[in-house]
Amino acid sequence: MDRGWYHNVVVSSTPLTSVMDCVSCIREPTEDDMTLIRQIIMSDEEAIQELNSETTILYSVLERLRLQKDKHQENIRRARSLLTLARRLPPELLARIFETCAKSGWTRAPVAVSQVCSAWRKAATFPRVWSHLFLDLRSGNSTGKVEFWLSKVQHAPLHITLDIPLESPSLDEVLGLLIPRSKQWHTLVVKSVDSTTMNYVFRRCSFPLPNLRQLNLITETESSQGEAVNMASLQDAPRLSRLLIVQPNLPQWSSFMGVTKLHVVLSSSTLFTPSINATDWIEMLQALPELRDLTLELSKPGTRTYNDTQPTVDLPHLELLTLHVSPEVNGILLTMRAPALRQLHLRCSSEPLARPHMPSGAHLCQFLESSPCVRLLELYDVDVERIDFVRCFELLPKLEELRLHDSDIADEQLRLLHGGNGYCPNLARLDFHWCNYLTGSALVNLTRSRLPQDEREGRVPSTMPPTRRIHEVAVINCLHVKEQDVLDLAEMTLCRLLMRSDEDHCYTRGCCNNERYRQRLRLRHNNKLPETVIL
Amino acid sequence: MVHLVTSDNVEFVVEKEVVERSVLIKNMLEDVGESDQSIPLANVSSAVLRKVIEYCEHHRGEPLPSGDADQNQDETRKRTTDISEWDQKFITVDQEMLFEIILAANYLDIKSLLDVGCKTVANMIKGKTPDEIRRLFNIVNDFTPEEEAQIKKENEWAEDR
Repeated sequence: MDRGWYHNVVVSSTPLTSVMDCVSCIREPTEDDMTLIRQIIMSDEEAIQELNSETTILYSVLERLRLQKDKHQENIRRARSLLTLARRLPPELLARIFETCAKSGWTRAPVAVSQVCSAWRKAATFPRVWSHLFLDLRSGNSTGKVEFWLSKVQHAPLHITLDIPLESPSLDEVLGLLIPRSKQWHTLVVKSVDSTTMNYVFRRCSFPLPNLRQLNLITETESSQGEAVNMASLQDAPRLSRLLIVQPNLPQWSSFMGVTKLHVVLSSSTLFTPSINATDWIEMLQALPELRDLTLELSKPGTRTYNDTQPTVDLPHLELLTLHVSPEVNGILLTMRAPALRQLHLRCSSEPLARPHMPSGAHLCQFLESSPCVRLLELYDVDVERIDFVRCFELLPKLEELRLHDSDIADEQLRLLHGGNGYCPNLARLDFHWCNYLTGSALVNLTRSRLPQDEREGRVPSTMPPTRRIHEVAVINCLHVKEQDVLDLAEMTLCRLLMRSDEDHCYTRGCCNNERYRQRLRLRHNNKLPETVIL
Repeated sequence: MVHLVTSDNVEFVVEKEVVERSVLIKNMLEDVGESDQSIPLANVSSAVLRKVIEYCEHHRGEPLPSGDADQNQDETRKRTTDISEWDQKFITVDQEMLFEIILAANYLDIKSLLDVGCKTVANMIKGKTPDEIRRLFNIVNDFTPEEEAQIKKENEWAEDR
């Protein structure tokens, strides 16, 4: 490229005449001076005009160069875009990514990804990418969407979500299109405003559903006639294993089902607060002998009456139980015997009481008498008497993880877990949030007491069977756990000051995001804390 | 110990327990038995294999995921794109490396690593418009006018959520 013209541009400046040097008197210029001044002004104006036109030429050259540069950059971008692996991944891998997107709830994923480029469009033709069909029957052309989706999904499994408003003229037609594909149904989620619509859908679906694995029924109100949801048509769904039911009252069914996972949310959009009846609860569970995972949740805090009756139901395979209820409903524990239980989560759905709830502690201990295999115990805003903690430890020889949120557990109870002959020899993980009675030094002592003999100084070897070392201690918002305690703990184990994203109930509630504390700690130590402190 | 040679001719010596997280290599070792001979990995560069080994070392001893489709479907929607803390840090790499890891995990048949890679990409594109995705990955819109017309029609089905 010839760059000579740059120099021409630089030397083309005209010499400048100063007006001060030309006039005879500055204070009182003569007529001749004024003529001269006017000539100088004119000459400067001409010079400026010339410079302006030179600048314009330069700008246009600059613009031309900028455009040229952009073209090269665009060319590079296009060349790189041909090389990008995002486009060159094998279609089956792209399809797998797209399926993950759709499965995670981004229902328009198949349409969006098929509009990116031809390679992605090709990958999006894999039928499983279209397996998740979401239909909001409030919006426009639902039947058109079903037809389009079914043409894409071919014979792949179908995971259908129907969101049905009170008045839905297209419901019949949509069901008419979906029902012939019932053998492909793997998941069915029905959201309806009332139980009448829900029952209508079920009446239409009274045919074999050989591949249905999961059913979610979500309705906020019973119909004006108080009609309960009738699940009789589900008898012909032999592979149905997971049920989520959100409705004002407990569900009922007339015969046994092979459901292994049941999640019941008692929810109501009306002021009416339904009670939980022990008899209905037991009857519901008696029909589910295969149950492994059970959750009961009250979506709205408030007092629910509970009829305390004597009979119990045996749940021989139950491994995971979560009760997210107000404290007075914890009595429901007494209706169940779960000898194989491995995880128990008791969570309070109302405001914490700020004092131990005595009946909850008593019910918990009584329930645990028949559940000796519990590995994980979580008490979330369910505070019990200190003596009940002791009883729990006695009853849970296999306990591996203890999670407490807003609890009054104190140092004396922790001392009972010390290594050597302490309770719960398998305990390896502690998770304490808002526990304001225990001290950091008690946690340090407990962790130290469970170190293997050779890691403890000045200890005489014991003949007692070894207790397991503590692998992780989480301390969040615990008033008496100081910075030095955290550092001491981190010398022996993982010390977590951060919620676990995937399994922490606080994660969804957002009550334990102690960001400022963690930030301050980081700054105080110049970001040089040991790796065993999880921030 | 198992000897692996990458596409750029770098040899890695890896513990059997670690390398057997790759079903491809596990099957190879079962078929030919243990020997000092190197296993050539023509599709994997040393930079990528180093990352893969780091992953396998961290997850050594964990049960291998089953291929049961039912089991996979059992995951809740939220969990579908959840990635553990360690895996998240591990997979925080540049785009090209991310896709290379996915390709390597697919080739070596390491399902859990493939899942982490695919979930990461899924999280990157979730909720974005086609144009935003193109910009994110530097992909050129190469549709013909006919395809563009078809795409316009399909937009009707992308209205909700």
